[in-house]
Amino acid sequence: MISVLVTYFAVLIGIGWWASRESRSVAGFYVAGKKLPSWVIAFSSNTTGESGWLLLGLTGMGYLVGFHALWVVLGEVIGVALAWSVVARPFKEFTDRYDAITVPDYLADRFADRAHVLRLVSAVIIFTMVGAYTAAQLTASGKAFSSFLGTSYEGGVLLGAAVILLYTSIGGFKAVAYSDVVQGVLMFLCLLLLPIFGIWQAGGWGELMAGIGEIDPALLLPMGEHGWSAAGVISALSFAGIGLAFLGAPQLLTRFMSARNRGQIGEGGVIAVLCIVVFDIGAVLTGVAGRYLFPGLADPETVLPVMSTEFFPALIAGVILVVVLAAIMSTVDSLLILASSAVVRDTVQKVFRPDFSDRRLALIGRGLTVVIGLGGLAVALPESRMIFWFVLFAWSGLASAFTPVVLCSLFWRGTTRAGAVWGMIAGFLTAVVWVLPILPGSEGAGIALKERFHDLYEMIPGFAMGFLVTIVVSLFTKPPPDAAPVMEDVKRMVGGPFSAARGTGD
Amino acid sequence: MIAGLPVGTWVLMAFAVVPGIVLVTAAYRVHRRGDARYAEQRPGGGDGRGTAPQPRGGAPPQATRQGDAGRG
Repeated sequence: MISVLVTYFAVLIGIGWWASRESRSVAGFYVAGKKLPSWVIAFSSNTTGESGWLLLGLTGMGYLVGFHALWVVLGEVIGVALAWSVVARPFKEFTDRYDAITVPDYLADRFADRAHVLRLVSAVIIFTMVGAYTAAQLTASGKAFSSFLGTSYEGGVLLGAAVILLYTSIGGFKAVAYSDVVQGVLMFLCLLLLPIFGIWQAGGWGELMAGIGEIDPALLLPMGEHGWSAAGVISALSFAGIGLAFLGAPQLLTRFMSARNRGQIGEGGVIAVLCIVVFDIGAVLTGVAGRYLFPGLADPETVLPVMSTEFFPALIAGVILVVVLAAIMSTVDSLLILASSAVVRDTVQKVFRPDFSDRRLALIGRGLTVVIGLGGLAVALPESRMIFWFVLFAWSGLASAFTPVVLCSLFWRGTTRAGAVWGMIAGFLTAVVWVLPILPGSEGAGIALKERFHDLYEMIPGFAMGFLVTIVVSLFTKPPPDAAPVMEDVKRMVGGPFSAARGTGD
Repeated sequence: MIAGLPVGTWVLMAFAVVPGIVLVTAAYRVHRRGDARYAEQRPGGGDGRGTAPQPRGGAPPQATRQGDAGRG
């Protein structure tokens, strides 16, 4: 098992070294010089969106709630499909026009934000949420190493963090994107084969379904144990809502920006959707099979490691451990690049020190990547939390802040700078406040709004508030003077979601 | 029940998979044709995939796009 791990780490570090030639400039470091082909951006986007959450969290949720977890698949597949077919093309066109290499870059140019308010607000939100997100992924790394190799939880967190920091700080975005491809292929194969193997181990599909029905008939139902009650509907909505983030989370939008050209986006979308179908259905079915094969697990999120170590020889179990680590690392590395870009590009270069050379900024970027990784490490080490909800909190914080504003900026010419600023703040704060125990509860303990609303996922109120505030504030303020003609021209260039480009726009 | 699963679960599975694939495939086909037509309309051509035509040995793509930004 150790030899498989060493080989995998060597491949990652090799990719980092190979890609380091591209990462000497700021654009090279953060968007690989905008030269990536469709299959790279597709795999990179999916593996960034699907982290250790997919292999440990979603398999665990399949184990806990059975086929009710298919609502997650529905939300994610539709979210990814809409992102690639509706958002990606205009976003790519806008960011190329503005020569933007980060999402705050794009927002600042789109709203002519000379005071840099959007950059600073974005940097604070990205920095905060990436810290939480990175900590959640390092938690997954600790769980994976301790389940597979029997190391301590802390040892697993440290080992994962060391490798991620090494190759990310060397290679920049290109290393991240290409290592995402390697990692994505491994995840794809694992989630294609593992459920098939699990069903076979259970004695076939019919045997598995009968066995699951005997454990708990609700595991077979689309609405789970709550049925069509308010709790059941809210649970389904919350699961489906997870996919909304694909429409505007900055770590995913960066992939569209790095595409070689718009043509790559069409091809990439088809690859990305097929890939996400296999990822998500595979994870849910693995969890369901695991529930039948290992019904009494104390931590459902260890179902995949348990299946691997119980059924396979050490070599194959080692490969599956590598797949779990791949999922974790492909997300953490992208987040570190995102947070580093928020500080270096959006704050240092654009606000405080525009005179710094590209080489110097890229060097600062590398240093910051290490600092942020160490911050995530400090949060992950003391406590092993539940990955599924920990990851989703950070996921919703980023998406609630950026997605409503990005969507309004792409499709509504009336969006204003003030609307964007307040929309971001409102979306972000709503998602965070939703999970804090702010309401008075029994015995002095506070209750979160989330608990009062049948555990409604924080991204849904975060999105609603983000859209509401962006639209209302925009209605009372003036959009940039060139917004309407530029949007019209972009529309002519890229077409609508399902209508082709109509002319040159000249 | 179909193959041990309630019909509603199969319906959910179909809704989870089919619309996304149809959506992205339709968008891909429409835009591939549109981009090709757009490239033919442009003086000097281009590759039909969103890249502006490049002069031989001339400016890199970014510089060309910057030049485009003033249009409209």
